[in-house]
Amino acid sequence: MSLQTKIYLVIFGLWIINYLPRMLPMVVLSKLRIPETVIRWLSFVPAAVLAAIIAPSVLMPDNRLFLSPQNAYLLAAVPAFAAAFKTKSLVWTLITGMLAMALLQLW
Amino acid sequence: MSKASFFAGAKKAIPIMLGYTPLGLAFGVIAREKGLDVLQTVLMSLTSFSGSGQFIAVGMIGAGASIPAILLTNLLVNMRYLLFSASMAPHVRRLPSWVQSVLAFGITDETFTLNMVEFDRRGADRDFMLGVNLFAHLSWIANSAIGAAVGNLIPDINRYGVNFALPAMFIALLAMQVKDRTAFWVAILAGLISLAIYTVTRNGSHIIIATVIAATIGVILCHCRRKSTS
Repeated sequence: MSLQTKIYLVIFGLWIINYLPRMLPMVVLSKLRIPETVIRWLSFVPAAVLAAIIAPSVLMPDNRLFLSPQNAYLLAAVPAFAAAFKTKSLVWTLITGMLAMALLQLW
Repeated sequence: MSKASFFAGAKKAIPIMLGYTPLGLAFGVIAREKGLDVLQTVLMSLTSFSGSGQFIAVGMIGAGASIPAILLTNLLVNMRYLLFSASMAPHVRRLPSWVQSVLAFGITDETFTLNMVEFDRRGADRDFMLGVNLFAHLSWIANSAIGAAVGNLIPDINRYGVNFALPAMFIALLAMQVKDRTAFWVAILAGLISLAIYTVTRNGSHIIIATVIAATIGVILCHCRRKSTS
């Protein structure tokens, strides 16, 4: 399969996968009752999935564990986490993280 | 159709539109870097309208992950939309199903938060919600288009920290999701499991497996804590 075909298939798949979870509960499940255990499980998914994405991208930037002050991703993550928990704002976290990374790369 | 409500919604969407500007630009630049052209970038922003999901998708395309791995990971990241949609359901109950289906398309972390706040004031106003969602979406599409179009004109864009846009965005979303101690431990656990799996295999399954295990342990922890307090 060519990369182009793959990209279009991913775009099409994403369309479905992004729309159905937004639409179905509102239109259908409002008429049903969801078991509380399922709701609780779903409530942990966002935090879990985000942590599962962040950990390797920050601690293993070159696909191997890199726990060192030489690791710019790890260092930039510190002010980014601080900004995130302090402001709970996408924009401020983005600015802080990118600025930290830009400065670290100067050295 | 009430024009006044529609534009009241558009006005409320301005902070969201501003927030989507750096995110959309960064997405456009990264999408281009990972092999998408401008049309594909715009198409994805039009149909998906999901910052985190789209960033992950282009990142995984760049890393050579398989289509099922990309879609399954996206489905997990987008599980929160199930919750958003379900919590909006009681408010929009009086609207016809087709209107609900249109409004649901525009649910994001930010439009959800804004619309939920407004439900308390004006109830579910179809035209207001449409104004919020449509203008937020327009900003997302326009900025990803600009990012994709000009991104490769700037030499060595990572110098400006663009390579950290993605981790930074996930860190912000994570901070919004860690609302109590159980969620905090679930996140730590998911991160550790994900790292452990990633050292062994790099087919994209680490995110899915870590999420399922950590969320399940979270439910068990929650259950135990409640038993011990009652």
